[in-house]
Order: sequence, then structure tokens, then C-alpha cells
Amino acid sequence: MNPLDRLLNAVRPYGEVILLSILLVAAVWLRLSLPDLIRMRRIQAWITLGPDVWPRMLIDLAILCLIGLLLIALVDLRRNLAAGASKEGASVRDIGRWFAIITIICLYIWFLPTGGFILTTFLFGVSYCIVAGLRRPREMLGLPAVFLVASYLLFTQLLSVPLPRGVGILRQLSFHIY
Amino acid sequence: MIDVYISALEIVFSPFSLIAIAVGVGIGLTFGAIPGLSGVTAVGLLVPFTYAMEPTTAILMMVGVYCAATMSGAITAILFNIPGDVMAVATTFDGHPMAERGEAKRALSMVIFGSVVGGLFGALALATIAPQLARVAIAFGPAEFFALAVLGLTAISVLGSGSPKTMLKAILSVLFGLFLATIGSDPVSGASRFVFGNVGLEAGIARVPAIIGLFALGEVLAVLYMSRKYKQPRDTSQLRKGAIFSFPSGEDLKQVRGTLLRAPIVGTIVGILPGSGGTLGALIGYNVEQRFAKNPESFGKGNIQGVAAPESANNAAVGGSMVPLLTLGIPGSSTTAIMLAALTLHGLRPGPLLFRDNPEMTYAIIFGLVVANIVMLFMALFLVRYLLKVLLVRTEVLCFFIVSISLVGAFAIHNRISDMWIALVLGLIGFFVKKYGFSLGGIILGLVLGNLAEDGLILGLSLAGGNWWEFLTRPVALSILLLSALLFVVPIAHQLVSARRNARNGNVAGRPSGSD
Repeated sequence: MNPLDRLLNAVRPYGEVILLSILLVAAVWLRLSLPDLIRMRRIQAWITLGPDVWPRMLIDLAILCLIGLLLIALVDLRRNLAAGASKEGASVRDIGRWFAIITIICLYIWFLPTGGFILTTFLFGVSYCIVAGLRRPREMLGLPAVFLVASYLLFTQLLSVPLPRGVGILRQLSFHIY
Repeated sequence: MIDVYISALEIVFSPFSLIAIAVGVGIGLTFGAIPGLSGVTAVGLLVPFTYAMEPTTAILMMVGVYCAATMSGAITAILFNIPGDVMAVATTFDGHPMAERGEAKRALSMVIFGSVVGGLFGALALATIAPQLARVAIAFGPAEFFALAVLGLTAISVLGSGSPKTMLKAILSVLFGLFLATIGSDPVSGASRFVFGNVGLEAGIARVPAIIGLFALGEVLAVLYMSRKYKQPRDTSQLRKGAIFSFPSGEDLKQVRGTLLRAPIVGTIVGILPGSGGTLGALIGYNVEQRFAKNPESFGKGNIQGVAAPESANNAAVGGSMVPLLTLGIPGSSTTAIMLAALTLHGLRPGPLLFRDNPEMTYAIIFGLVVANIVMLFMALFLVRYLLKVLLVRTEVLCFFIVSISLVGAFAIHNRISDMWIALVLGLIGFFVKKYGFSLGGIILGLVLGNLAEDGLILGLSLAGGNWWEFLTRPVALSILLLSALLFVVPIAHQLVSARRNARNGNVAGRPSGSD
């Protein structure tokens, strides 16, 4: 087994405890920062039922639930470690591929206002196909092309959605298409 | 009143509405049949597309999706022992053994017929119960609406039952949904809450991108993460012979006639309970049928009644879950929670006033449910064979289309790139929610009921001069709160008793939970 996979398998049982700890820290931080995060005007400070009442109730309850959950998760973890139970999950390669897809989606959203819908969507489609293992030219070029034609018909012709046009020459070119 | 019925029928039988229902049924059949996706995903994805439609047409399309996806999850449940949708879990118990005996077509014919009978019963129950309930609910004030929101949120006790851990996770999911609903400007004081200096968040978390993110992107990210799980070879040879499906044989119908009377009643009642939806309806329908059966030992080994019961129960729950949506404005399931958001998007407020202000539309939705079931019957009989071809398409290809449609769909509502970011962030949250066993249904219930709960609480308390006891002195509010407490406590008590009994017997039992 790949050393990274071994490391991943060693960390995997602690995943839930780590997640719950992060959530608990976040909830406590939200509770402590409540006066900064809810900007009340000075005149409203005297109102008993201010805008912070409901969120404060929710966060307090969430902290209680998280403490309970963390305790249960720790007991479960101890029991599982004692029993030597191991969880099967995604490999490092799977996770890497998953992160690559998320990165591509982020880049797509980030570049869309600049590159315009057609160019950006086509590049997104091609990159997705490469990462997802769809590497035959028919798939790599065909899937983005099919989606572009379908979304052009659906969004611009049927739903009249003004899709992003991009900037500069891309914007000028887009007016010839939609 | 007759005028209202005639106008509603005119709406339902207009060409646009019929096409919308048929398209919805087609989409529902496809999404329900693909393991990993579901009817909720399809309805979530549809919301931006329905923005340009008339509200009634949009909801009719969603009703078509909901009905058909509830049914078509059984296709893979029977053929491959993998429920296409969590609602079809109970169908695997007897459906798959039938397929192994070479009776897949017989089981699928019963699925289609049983679903339609259940769906029509649910629609009838909706038409009968909803107007009466709406008449009562029209006199409700803020305290009652707060109590109703609490009732809606008791769904967590059903969604999360299983163990204290899943229970706490479900409660936490609801709290997170309620917290998301507080982001933005406070409607009473105008104060900014949790916007972190981002002007785009002042208007709050946009519901549609959030729904798309949680249900569509989140599901797809989970499928892509574990795509190996969905790569097993699928043998569809059993269904290659024969052009279309037929109705169940006379002998089968005789055998299930009692089932098709009992299971829809169970499904409808369970569906009306907030948050329970079709999954619980199907499981309880199956259990009830097993108790009534002359040969309960044959259940789990390919009994046709074991196929008819869950399918008719979960489709009856569709109508049942729309009762609280249309009359009280609280969703009965995750799918109806999305429908609530879609109605709000169109400027409509589901609840008792919907019956008073938009009676034609409300009755059109009720009649549309009947039509959707009939359309589903014919489309399913003709299309099931072709649907199986979708199952042979590579998971990554389907995921590409869903990711792309989700992102562009999130943009399309308000033409804002920031909505795409919201969809992506909530998609990631949805992924972790699935991965760590939290409740997506709980989050969406919290998100859509958050404003109702907060407004009801704050307005109710303001009117009562900050006196909390006021909520307990109003008979209707008190009754609803007591009912909520009962709904919350009973499943926990039942779970504790079962766990103790199982511990004494030395075995472990549980039931799958999911969002529908």
C-alpha cells in the first residue's frame, strides 16, 4: 500500500472527532463574537427582543449538541480502536481527483465573468473530462460541446437568461452567438 | 366552489401544464432510477428552470418529478438490490428476490401499478383533508405559526431516529439550517447578522442556490468521491425481452387487493407527519402488511405483497406530505421543502391563505397530482426499458452534466456569480453532511422554516410583552406544541425501548434513514 494511503487509513478513524472539534471551536467563536457579528445600531441596544436573541438561542443549543456528539464520538472512537475496527474509504488518488474537480469548479466560477460562458464552459468541460478519466477525444470534446449546445438552447432561447459574455473581444464575439 | 374546480381543471388540462407534468414525470423517472441521485436532486435542479414559468406550471412539473422519482427508485432496487432512491429501500426486501427468481417484470409491473394506486389515494386524501385544515389554520396568529414551525422541526426526531448520535446529528443539522436562515438583514430591526462585511449576504442566503448546492452538487460530489462504489457491472438482460410492460396479472391483483387498501392509508398518514415522507411510509407500510399477511414468513423471500405495500405506501405519502405544505406552509418532506422555496420564489406564501387567495392554483396542484399519477402509469409502462440504458451511462458523464447544470442554474436565478459560489460552498457542506451522517433534510427544513420560526417567536413575544407563558396560554399554540413534544419524544422512547430489547436479545437492529 502507498505510504500516503497508509497515513490516510491511520487518520481516518479520527475524522469524525476532528470534524466535531472544528465545529465546536467555530460555534464557540461565533457565540463569543456575537456582538461584533450582529451590528445593532446604538438606539436598538435597549430592545429586549433584539436581533441577537434567536441566533444566540441557536448557537447555545448547537454548542450543547456538539459537546454531546463529541463525547459520543470519543467513546465510539475508543471502542473502535480497542476492537481494531478499520473503515474502508476513498484512496489518496480518489481524494486527489476529488480535490482537482473542486479546484476546476472554483476556477470555472472565478474565470466565468472574464472568459464568458462559451469559452469558460468549454475549458471547464475539457478539464473535467481529463480529471475524471474521460480521456477519449470523443468524450473530451463531445461532452462539453453537447452541454454548450443544450445550455445555449435552454438558457438563452427558452429561459432568456443573460449568460456571462466575458470581456474584450470575447464579449464582442458573444453578441454574434447569444 | 364549482367555478374554482372548473378553473383548476382548465389549468391542469392546458397543454402547457400537461407538457410540464409529462416532462416532470420523465425527469423523475430518470433521476429516481439512478442510484446516488434522487427525486430531491431533480426537484432542486429544476427550481431555476421553473423561474420563467407560471407558478402553477412550475409546481405541477415538480409534482410530476416527485411522483415519478418515488416510484422509479424501485427499478434498481429490484434489478440490482440498490435502491435508486432511499424511499425504495423496503422494496429491495422482496423485489430483488423476485428478480433473482426471474420475475423482475412481474415485480416491476406491480411497482408501477401499486405506486399509481397509492399516488391516487394520496391525492384523494390531499383533496379531502387540505381544505378543511386550511379553514382551521386561517385564524392562526404569530404564536401558532411559531408552534407550527416547531412542529415542522420535530421532523428531526423522525429523520434522526436510530441512535442518540444520529438524533443529535439531526438536531444539529436543523440548527445549522435555522442559523443559515438568520444570515443577512434582520427583518424586524434591520441589523446585519453574520454578513462578515459582504454586501452580497445582506439579503440573506439565497434559497435556490443553497438548495441546488446541498441537494444536487452535494450529491454529485459524494458520488464522485466514491465513484468506485457505482461502477459495478449492471445486468439488464432480464428486461431486454418484450416491448412494454403490462399490468399485473389478475392473480397478482387478487393477492394484493387488501395490501392496496391498507398500505396507502398508512403511507398517507405517515406522509402528513412533518418530515417523515415516503421512506418511513414505505417501511411502516411494509411492516403493517407483514403483520396482516397470512404467510408472513414468505416476506423477504419474494412475496408480491412485499413489493406492492412499500410502493403504494411511499407514493401515497407524496399526497400526504403536501397536506402540511399547502395548508400550514410547513413541508412534510425534503422535496416539499424545496417546493416551499420554489413557491416563495414565485412570490407565493404556502399556508392557509393560499386556499383563500389562490384557490384555483391550489386545487390545480391537487388535481395535478392525480393527473401526474395517471401520466406516470403510461410513461412508466412504456419507458422503463429505455430508462435502463441511462444506468449504463458512466457515472462521471452524468456527474458532468449535473455539476454544469447546477452551476449555471444557480447563476440563472438572479444572474449573479455570487450565487454560484453559494451553491459550491453549500455543495461542499452537503458533501460533508452526507459523508458524516448528518441530515440534509434537517438543514433544508431549518433553512425554509427559519424565518417562520423566528418571526413567529419574536412577533409573538413582542405582542405578549416578552411573556413566554403567552405561548402556553393560547389553546391552539399549546396543542401544537404538545403534539410537537409528543412527536419528538415518542420515536426516542421507542428507540430506547427497542435498543434495550435488542441488547437483551443480543442483536442490533436499525433502520435506514434518509431524506425524501
